[in-house]
Amino acid sequence: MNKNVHLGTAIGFFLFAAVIMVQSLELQFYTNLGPGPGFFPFILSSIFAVLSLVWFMQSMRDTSSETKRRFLPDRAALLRIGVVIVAVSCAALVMDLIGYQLAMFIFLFVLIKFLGKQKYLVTTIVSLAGSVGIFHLFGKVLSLLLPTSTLPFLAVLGL
Amino acid sequence: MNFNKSNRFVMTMTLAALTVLCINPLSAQTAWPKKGSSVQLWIGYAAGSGTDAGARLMAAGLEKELGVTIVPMNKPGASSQIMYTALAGAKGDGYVFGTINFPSAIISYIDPDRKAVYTKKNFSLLALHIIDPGIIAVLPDSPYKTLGDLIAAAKANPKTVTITTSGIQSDEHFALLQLEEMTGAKFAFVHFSTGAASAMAPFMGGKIDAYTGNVADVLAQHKAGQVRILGVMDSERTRFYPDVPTFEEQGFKLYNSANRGFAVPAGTPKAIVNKLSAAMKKVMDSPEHQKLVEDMGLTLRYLSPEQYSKFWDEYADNVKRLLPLSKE
Amino acid sequence: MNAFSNLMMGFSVALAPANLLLAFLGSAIGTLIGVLPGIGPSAGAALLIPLTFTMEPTGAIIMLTALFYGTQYGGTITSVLLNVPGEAASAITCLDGHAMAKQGRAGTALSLAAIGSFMGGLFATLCLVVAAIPLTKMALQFGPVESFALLTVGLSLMMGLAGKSIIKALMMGVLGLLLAMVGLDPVRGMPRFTFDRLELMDGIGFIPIIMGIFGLAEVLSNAEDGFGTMKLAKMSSLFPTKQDLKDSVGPIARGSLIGTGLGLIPGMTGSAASFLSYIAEKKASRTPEKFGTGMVQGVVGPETANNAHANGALIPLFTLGIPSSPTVAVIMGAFMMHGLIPGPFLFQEHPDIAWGVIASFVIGNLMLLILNLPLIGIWVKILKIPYGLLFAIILAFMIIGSYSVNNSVFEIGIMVVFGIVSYFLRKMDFPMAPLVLTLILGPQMERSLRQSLEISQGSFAIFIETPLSAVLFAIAAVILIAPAFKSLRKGKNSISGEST
Repeated sequence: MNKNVHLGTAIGFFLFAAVIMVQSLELQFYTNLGPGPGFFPFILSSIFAVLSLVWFMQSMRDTSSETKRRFLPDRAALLRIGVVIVAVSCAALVMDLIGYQLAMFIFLFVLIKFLGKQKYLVTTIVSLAGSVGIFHLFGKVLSLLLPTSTLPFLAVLGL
Repeated sequence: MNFNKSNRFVMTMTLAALTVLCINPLSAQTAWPKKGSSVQLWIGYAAGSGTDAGARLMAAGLEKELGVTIVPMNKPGASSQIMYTALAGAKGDGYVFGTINFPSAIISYIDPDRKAVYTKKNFSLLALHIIDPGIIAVLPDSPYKTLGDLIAAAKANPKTVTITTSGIQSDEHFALLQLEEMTGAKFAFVHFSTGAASAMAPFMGGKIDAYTGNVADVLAQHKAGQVRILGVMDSERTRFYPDVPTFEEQGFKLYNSANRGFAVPAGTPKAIVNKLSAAMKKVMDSPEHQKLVEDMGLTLRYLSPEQYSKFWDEYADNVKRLLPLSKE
Repeated sequence: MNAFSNLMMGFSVALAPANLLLAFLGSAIGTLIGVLPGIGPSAGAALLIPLTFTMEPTGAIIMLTALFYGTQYGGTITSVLLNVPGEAASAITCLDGHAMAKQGRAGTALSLAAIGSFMGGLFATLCLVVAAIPLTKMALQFGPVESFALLTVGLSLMMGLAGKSIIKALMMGVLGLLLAMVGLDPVRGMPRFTFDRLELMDGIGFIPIIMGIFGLAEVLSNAEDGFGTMKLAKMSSLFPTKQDLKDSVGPIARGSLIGTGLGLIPGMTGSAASFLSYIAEKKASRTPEKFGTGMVQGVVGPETANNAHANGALIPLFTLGIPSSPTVAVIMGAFMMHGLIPGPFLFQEHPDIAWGVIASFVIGNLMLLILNLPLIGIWVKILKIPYGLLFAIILAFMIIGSYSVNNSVFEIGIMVVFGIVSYFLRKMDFPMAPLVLTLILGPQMERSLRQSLEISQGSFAIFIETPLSAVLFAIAAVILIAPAFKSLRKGKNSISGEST
């Protein structure tokens, strides 16, 4: 499975380079004074494309034992990784909507309790500190305002 | 219609209610700002930048003047375009205003490549606060003793006299394009998009013939006698370099400066605009504020909303004309 | 010598109790700011400037400059303990520093970093006292042409970061250069690869990228094995062994030179200094392949260079009134707001202030050392927090940090994207260091190239005609070709029967 992932990624890289190459053709290649905005992107993406092909060939010929190893960890691990990624993304997406304090509290609580499997007391204390505590610390001491909610009923609560 | 007692009562009440509703927005205006409320000041550049410093000084002054908390918030990115976009879409209730720098503000919506979603119509201008007139300088041992020498050389040998700017389409770039237009000279621009300060070292190392910047940029070097300032692009001499003649005095009607002011979203009631602008003027008249701004080498210049708007339009005409040239 | 008698006067000013306290406060707050994500030294300094209005000038400047080089050290703490760079220049310390932490040697890493930082700062200050003018004259030789040549040398050293696979290192290097192209281009000033997103007009944020590559990828990698297991070895002594100290001498010497040298040249950032120091240590080492597994030199060198750079960057400010970076510009602003204009005139008009501030650099750096060494015991306890709790804190840390770069959630998204991509790439043995190096050097290279061609009006000959540039290009060529010669000779030797 490992080998296939390598090959797939090599192809992915190649396509990525191809897209950049095409995009950079829309930019001016050379100006009267020297390389234009499209010059380096074009050349670099061409080099990248070539290197991807070389890597592809190398991976094809690679018969070492490492390539037999499983690439992705087991189901449980995948779930954990997925949850982390989803959690961070969601926190970012809703932060402007429901405000930093609420978003961060939910984020911390869910992760610490359900992934980290810590006790309720510890979870709650840390979640509060990281959301409300940090909000006021940054706001009062550092004059750095973390987002507040755009929903009126939450904004009124100071969230 | 039946004008019996109950109907009359209803009609009177309705009329009264409507009247109150009409008056309310007016009274909200005259009651602005509510005591104890906070007003946000959006700053389009990062903390520590020149614009940020000047804006925070104004915020401090306004707090005393208006009796409210002013909360400065930095919203940097894309030379303030991100902040302008947000400001254009914000509520015009007098509780948010933002910094405006031009030429960058004007360029951001005139230049089609920048794909701005706003124009001047989306803003109500409050006041001009600080200007920093442009200057051109050379090293003390340079063969160019006057502005005329420099321009003559650039005319005689086009594209051989190198001169710095603080980036493509910066205010220096536009000033020089105007100068070229006026005199037929042709300079070799060297753009330092990371700012005028990054142009200073190569210039002082003798790698570039001349330096374009603003008055505040060369305070230290002038004091140490390390530069020769050829001219100031303003209608009057600057108090920081009283011996330096203006461009106008030397026969070149060129006026250019970095301009920093403030604006609110369009649709903010006129009463609030005027009140805020008057408060700003008071701050600018106070001695403490003047001293702090002067220490930074900057010049205060107040323009009322109408004057500021006129100034903006004049500048915009210049930009429209020179924009294609700046893209060569 | 005149300089030293002035310095003595400066010390008498700097040792006044009020100024000592301010130096202490500055270093302490600076360290804290370095630890806190997202708030860089310039933002921190800018926010504190209003507080300094009521102080007299010497004290205010002392506090602000102490804050400035204090932040360099704070960033190290999070890099070593959490693999999260608290500050751009501390990113490379994540590689060997965090590896050392995993081996139970976090205390050693932090104390060596503190010692190295002190020595680096001291060296740079010494340069300021003794040789400020000649050094500045040397630095002024680096215009756009010479800067481009120097950056090319730096780029050619990228091969020194390659691990087992040159192809993979090259790919990452090229990818870094491509990523560096996003934003307004230096030729036309037009948006390039921004997909109409305003947030990308200034380029992809560097801090969110490195938070993703180092911090998030590490958390994801740890998540693989579950959150209960403690992945750290038992903590050994907090302080370095004799061998560690012996091993640090070379890196400190090299780091001081590299850091101070690059600090003098505008356009060369602290990140460039720490990275190049890392590469230099790898080249100077007898066991380069061990770098990344917890080599002391990989921590001490960059940290020394980092602090030397911060202090060295102040030299052009004092000699010419030129701020070589936005952060130094803030300090310059602080000078001006108190009615002082930095430059040679300052030494004539206010010698007590000028020399007092310089003497305070020595004291401030010493304070950083005294302040931080005992605290290491406390910082290191952070590692004892169960990972099930710590990982969430780290994530929160990074979310706040990415957000505060531009007060926008877009940067959090960048961090997530780069975290995921880097997690997968790491599994395929792609080295991240070359990517970060080219990301740092790339933008300035394209700018310097363009500026050089604007000066020469299109002629590439300027790179050969300028002596310093020609020499640097020759060095770059040698660096690139030398390994090829080496392997040719190896081949020859084995053909002739000699054992290699």
